[in-house]
Amino acid sequence: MKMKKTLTIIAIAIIVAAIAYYLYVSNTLQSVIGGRAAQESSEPSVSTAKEVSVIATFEVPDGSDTVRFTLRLDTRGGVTSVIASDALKNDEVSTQLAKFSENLLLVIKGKKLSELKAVDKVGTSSLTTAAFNTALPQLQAQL
Amino acid sequence: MEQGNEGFSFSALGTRWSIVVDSEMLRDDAQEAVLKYIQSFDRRFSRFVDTSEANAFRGSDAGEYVISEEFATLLSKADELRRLTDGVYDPAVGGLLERAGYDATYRMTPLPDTAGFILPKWDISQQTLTLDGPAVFDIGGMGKGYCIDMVAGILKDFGYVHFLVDGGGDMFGTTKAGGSPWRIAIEYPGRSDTAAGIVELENQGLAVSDSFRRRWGTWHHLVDPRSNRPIDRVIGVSAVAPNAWDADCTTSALYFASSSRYPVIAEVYSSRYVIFRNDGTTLVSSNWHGELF
Repeated sequence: MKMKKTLTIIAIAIIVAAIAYYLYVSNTLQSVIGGRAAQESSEPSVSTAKEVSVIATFEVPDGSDTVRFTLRLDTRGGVTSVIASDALKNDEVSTQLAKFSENLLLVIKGKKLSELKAVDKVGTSSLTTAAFNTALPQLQAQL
Repeated sequence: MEQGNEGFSFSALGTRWSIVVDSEMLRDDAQEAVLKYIQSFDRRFSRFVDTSEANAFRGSDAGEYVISEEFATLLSKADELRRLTDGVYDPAVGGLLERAGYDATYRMTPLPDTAGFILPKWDISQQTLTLDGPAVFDIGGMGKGYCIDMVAGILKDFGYVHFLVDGGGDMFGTTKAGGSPWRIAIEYPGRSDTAAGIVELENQGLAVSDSFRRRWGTWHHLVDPRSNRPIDRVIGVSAVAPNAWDADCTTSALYFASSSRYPVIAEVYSSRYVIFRNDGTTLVSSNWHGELF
């Protein structure tokens, strides 16, 4: 039961990811892999598809990794597997990509801090120093 | 410095710290020990301090140099990060940050030859540092996590068991007096009024890094020495690990590494992470525990 719940969560995550790609990276998808990706990404419906996929392009120091996430579904819409493959190399599944497929691709909207209860602290990137903040207007004045 | 509801708080290493000991106050002698260590750490390893070890090689010739045990410990960890990121993380970018304007005077204006910066080559073996010429080290990507853990060690030496050390947003927490974990909201990158999620710390460290702070003009402090430009593909990373240093190293490594390296990094530091990408999506490690909104 717990496993089924987990798989459902993964399915939702991937579907959300597919939607995210429409919203954020559709241009990237089409430029990288053309019409094929658009067609595949347009079929993330659990009720009608046995297999759905979405392609993610990750910018890396040497260029980009183009990874296809493929979900295989059973007849009830349950996820039977999630596979990450190299979309530019005949969907080759390397050891690294096999591990990488353990990551979940999500869209996090966030929640107002003022709405949170029983929080002890807020983890943040370090605040800038007073000297740094003092110098910024001087920089802006030069622009 | 002061001790109120937020605990013992003070400014150090360019940010605001606070130490909360659950159900009791931090004694004066413990406060003094903590401050003494952090001030010493700043003097010895900040590139903004002329006499620090990080600055000691600014005019050095090529050769081998014996450095302090603690600086060797820090540089050895930085070397590990350098390997994990295929050389993209490198503490020797101190000179590049200075040219870009992030120097001790906060010039904030890049010099004309910034793009021509050549990264110094260096190697570390025990306490011997080998250089090919002048170098300025910036350990900002992992030094604070180390310092937080050292402060936690000081608190334990003084007999404290239930505490949270907050070093400007990066933390280490044991447990609260009743055994429950510390609940920490993770700030959404670039949105200081918004939380991306909540994690619970129980003898664990948390590190949070983003490119929205320490930003000037088109620059920020996370730079790729191969392009001599800031990194833009990732806008924020949060990580939880068994200690603050490993959490800090995880965020730095994930910022700089190729995505194929992410699982290895999590394995090396026994960490879990959230990576905020510049396209609005988020990569979450499969072992992540905690709420995400």
